[in-house]
Amino acid sequence: MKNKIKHILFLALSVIAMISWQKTQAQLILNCESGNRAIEQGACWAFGAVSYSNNVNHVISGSYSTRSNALSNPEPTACWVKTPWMKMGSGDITLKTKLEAANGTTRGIIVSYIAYDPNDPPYYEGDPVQFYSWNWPSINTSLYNLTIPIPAEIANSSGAYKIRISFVGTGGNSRAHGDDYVFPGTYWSDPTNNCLPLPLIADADGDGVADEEDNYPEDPYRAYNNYYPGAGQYGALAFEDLWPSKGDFDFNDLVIDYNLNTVTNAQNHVVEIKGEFMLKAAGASYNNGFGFNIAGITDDHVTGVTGYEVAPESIFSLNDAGLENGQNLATVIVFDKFKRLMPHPGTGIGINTDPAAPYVQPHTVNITLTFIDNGVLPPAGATSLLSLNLIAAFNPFIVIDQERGRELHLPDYPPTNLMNQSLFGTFDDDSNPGTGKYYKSANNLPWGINIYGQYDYPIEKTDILHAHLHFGEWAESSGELFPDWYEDQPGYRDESKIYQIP
Amino acid sequence: MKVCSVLVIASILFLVTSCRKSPGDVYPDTPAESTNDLVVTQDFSWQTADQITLQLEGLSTPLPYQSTLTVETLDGVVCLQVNYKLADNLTAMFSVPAKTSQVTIKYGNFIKTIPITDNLVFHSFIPVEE
Repeated sequence: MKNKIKHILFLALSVIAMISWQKTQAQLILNCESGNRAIEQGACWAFGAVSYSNNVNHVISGSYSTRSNALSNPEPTACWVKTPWMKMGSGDITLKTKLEAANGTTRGIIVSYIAYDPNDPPYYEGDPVQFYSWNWPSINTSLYNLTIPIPAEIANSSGAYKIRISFVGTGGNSRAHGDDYVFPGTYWSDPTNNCLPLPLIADADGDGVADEEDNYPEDPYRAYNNYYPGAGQYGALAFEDLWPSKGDFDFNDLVIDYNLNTVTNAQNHVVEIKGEFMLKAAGASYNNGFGFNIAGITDDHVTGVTGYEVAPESIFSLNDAGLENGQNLATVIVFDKFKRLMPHPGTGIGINTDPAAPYVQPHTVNITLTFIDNGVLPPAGATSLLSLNLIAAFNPFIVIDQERGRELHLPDYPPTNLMNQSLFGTFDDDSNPGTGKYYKSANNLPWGINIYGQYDYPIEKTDILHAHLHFGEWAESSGELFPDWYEDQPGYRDESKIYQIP
Repeated sequence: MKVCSVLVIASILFLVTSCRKSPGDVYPDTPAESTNDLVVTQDFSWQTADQITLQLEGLSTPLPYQSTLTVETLDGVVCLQVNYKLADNLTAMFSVPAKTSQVTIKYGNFIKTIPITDNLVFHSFIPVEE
């Protein structure tokens, strides 16, 4: 509820801010209607001994006006309002002003411009140049409308300037009010860069993303890489493929390292998802296939997939876009048969799980799932990265031993449409689709795990508990203890039980 | 006799309370010898990554200021890159290793490390009036 109120207030403030000061046709306008100087300060306006007031006796127009301190100083540095950096237009600066009380010896307004000086950090403001002054003709509380011509030397400038309106005086304690300040020109400040002038931005492909930030500086259809788990880093998927029967919990029946890159454009729309899948080990006799879908992404959200390794005669039926037929969600079959890509070495159990057997070089499959093809949207329109929680939605699965209906997913991830659901609840499986429990045993053990980082898997027929020494504590604490159990840290492993790549 | 009864009652109470787990102590006392023996709750997700929501409150500017916003772990792994308009509110999701406690947001020259609280990272660009 508190957050909701905060958001409503923020929206109201934003609307007020837009009213409080504005850029209309080549003008900056300050009318204080935000009621909060901080909002204008956030947009690079500055105030020296000048606040906002909503006292009915102070306000010139609307609900708020500026109010200076008592004007007892003739110097223009005492009480002032200063614009953000701007490119000056031409014509007149205008404002409305009045005194709060009819006392004082002198009262006046001095207007100066300040040029950008790249050699004067941290504010890069050159010396103020006074170009206009005006004195109250008599000390009274009448309203005055001032018209101040912009000097020719800065009018229609290509450089960046600030205008400072100073309220000055001697004697007495009366204050000055101001409102409806209008400055011809273009806003040229960078609120995220200490309110310095906007830099010149190089953008070769014109997509609105600066070259130095653009991962594809010469491609107007692509802007950013969003890697999981990180650029040049890999997560791992590990399965026990005797499902629905329990296995030996060595979690090496199929081991795949993977990296996902969600490529987006300048509108934060998903252009493509690139999947790099490195087949590392198959400590099993079964010849398994592997695929994935993404929750909420149907065939209409994508234009096609390339890079998969599925033989024409395989058990998988693919459409012209390369996606599996008969599925509600866009389903990618990454490979159909592990052992077609990584043949058994001829001796030992499995592939790369028996230290005594020859090592087989990992095989990598590079998938590209295309959403927007050179700017052309799919039938369902664009998919925004902001609404796609890829890793939560990423649903990888194996197809066990070429039996299409025998799928194995990560715990509590749903099957595809081609799953033989009569297998649920058989042998050691305790899945209950009605409750969303999938691929877990009666004591909630999984047959697949998804590891955030590098996974050094156990040697054949070695329980993962004996290789990764804190795996059990992690599981039994529901993830509170040793969330990094898979890392190579002191005391975390029994190296003799982990497969060592020769 | 009365003292005896009190002692017996006290002993029984001691035994009962000493067998009860302390608040927060929910883990089995005896380590399992095989994965098959693990005692795991039904709601354990087996996830090694946390899904985090990023919420930003924007700041209105007349010129639609826009630049690249990145979220990084403290060791510099980029979790999220988006093109962000400063005037907009933004909600997005990203993943970090489980139990990560802080991330760093970068936007132009703005850099800030923000704690993750209940899987949420929140920042407002509206300054607080001094």
